[in-house]
Amino acid sequence: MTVPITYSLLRKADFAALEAVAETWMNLYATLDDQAVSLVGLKSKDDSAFGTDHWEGPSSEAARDKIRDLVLALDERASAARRVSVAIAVAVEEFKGAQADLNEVVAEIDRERVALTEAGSVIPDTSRGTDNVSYAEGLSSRISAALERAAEADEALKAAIGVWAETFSESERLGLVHEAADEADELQDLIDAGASPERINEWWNGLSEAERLGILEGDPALIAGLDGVPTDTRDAANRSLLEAELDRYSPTLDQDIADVQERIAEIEGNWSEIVASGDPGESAEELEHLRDRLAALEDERATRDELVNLQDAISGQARTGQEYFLLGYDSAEDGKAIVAVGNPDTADNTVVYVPGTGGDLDGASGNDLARAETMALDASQVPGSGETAVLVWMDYDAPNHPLANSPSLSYAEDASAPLASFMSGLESTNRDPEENTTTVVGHSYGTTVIGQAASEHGLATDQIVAVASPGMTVDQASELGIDPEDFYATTAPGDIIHAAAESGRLGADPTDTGVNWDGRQTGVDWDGFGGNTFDSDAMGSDPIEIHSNYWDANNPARINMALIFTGNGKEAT
Amino acid sequence: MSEFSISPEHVRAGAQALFAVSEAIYESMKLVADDTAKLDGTVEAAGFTGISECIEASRAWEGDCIAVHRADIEELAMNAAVCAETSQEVDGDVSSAFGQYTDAYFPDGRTAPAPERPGPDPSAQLPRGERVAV
Repeated sequence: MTVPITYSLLRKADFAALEAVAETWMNLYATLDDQAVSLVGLKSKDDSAFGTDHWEGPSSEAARDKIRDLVLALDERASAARRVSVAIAVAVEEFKGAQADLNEVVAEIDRERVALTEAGSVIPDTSRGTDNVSYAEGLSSRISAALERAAEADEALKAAIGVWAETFSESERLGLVHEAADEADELQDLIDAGASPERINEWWNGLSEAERLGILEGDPALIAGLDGVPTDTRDAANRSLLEAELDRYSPTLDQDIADVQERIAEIEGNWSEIVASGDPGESAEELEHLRDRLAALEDERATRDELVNLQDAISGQARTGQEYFLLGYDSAEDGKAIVAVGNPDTADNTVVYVPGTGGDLDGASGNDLARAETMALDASQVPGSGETAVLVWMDYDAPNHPLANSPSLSYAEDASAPLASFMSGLESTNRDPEENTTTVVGHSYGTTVIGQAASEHGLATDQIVAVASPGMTVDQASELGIDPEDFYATTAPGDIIHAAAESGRLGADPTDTGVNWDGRQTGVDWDGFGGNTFDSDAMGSDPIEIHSNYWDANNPARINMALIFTGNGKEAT
Repeated sequence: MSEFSISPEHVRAGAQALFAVSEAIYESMKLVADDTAKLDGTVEAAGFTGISECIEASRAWEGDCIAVHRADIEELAMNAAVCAETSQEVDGDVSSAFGQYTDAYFPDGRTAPAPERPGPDPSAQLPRGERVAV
């Protein structure tokens, strides 16, 4: 509920002290973030102070577990401090703006036509005609608008501090959620009606901050994976859901597994005696039941561990010093996740990396995330490039096996619409999409996904990069919905993917200049895929390893990609 | 479970690093608290509910949230310190042993006060503005 701000208060208010407080919260954020990194450094390597080279045994393991807990706690607290700082800074700007509006009205007032009271009431001088009445009404209306602007900013600040600094009592928190219930219903209706990410973003921006926070607090699942919702908000929603999901796992899960294993070992160890007793049926039944239970518990543990790994992976800072943002995750089956290194809404360049065969939740918090960090780091080395945010988009069911699954187009077809929607969402949440350089880069089957999405739906991207592509479901770059000059491809010599690409099964080879491929285009005037190609090294002799070596140190593919991502593709070799 | 082994100089350095982390966090939190205190009692704090919430936040973080994190960090530092200075055999005497080595970890005296884990305040367990029924 908005609390009115009085005329006299806004006139004399000084926000300098509040502005300074915003800075100290940002400083606290930086400190907490830095100290979390320091804590990670105590155990990150075997030869770290608390690493296994220097400390072994139960006490060391407890210490390393404790450090993990501390890092997560500080990381969460740092994120909250950052949000508090931003909320205060935004409020200060709004307060000052409202004050300036008010001062402008006061300065303009013609004192011969109206009188202004200390409470801000405008009294027309009716002795000189009725024109002054409407003049006074106009001034009153502007004064009211300025006061209302300040009151809305005040309400937003209170809600933001209450949520992020956790100063709200439970009843206040529920009140915030309750106040936003109608908006949450409205959003659900929009989703059910298939609203585009642009429409979602437009609607979201029309809400007050208190309403946005009310939805986030009340139903984070509603917005966690919703394209068009700003990155920072999706991140908060997903982290909240991830923590809640991890909390649902039994704290005795590991011990339960150990107990079942012990009982199985006991029965198996006594099996000859059980058989000799003449009636092994009951024990056989128990053994079967225990094995089923063990399998179920181990599956549960595997999923929990994947989620723990994800939580660890997105805590602290990336090697670039950028923050991680979790834009979506799903623990079902192989698992999915969308993780950003840097905030794509505010970055100068945005890169969306689509992994290929074998991609899953583990990869999104492991090897694929490491590749994303490498690409962000490389891009940061290009002079004058600004900030480059790199996202791992692992929001599709990728083929598990290169021979059994990858030749199928079905995975790409299923991923096509979600990728297109995600890219549209990124475009709508970016603060300056005209100036931002956006690139979608795929590796292996990820390029097939990109090709399918680009040709079927169109992708909101400036450039497309194909690394080690088996085919992009099209015959030429011009079918990807972008200027072919903005298309780049590379496949290293000796990469095993050459065989798949040259088969033409998933479309023409994107690196083909017209001389290699003679599949479906036999007899056709074929002049190559089009676009640009750039260099990459094999970095080895094993065709399978070559396929994964593009992000290795000293591979020229890295600097070429960095140039492309930062809008300097003409310099790529 | 792996066998116990320890390199005291490394673990000692780790414990000292933990105390440094705690102090850095204290200093940064103190800045927030000091600057926010300047808002207390002002017309702005009285008239803007958001500004008074900022004061509330600073108090809550200084007296509770950050204090608890620092206490956890220093507790770990103490345990690591004792492990570094003693052996596995005296592992059971952790708390009393720490006092013996405290000076070695703060040769010049610490600049930040030791953190205190806040005791549970019954009134804080209730929603603001609500009271226990009597």
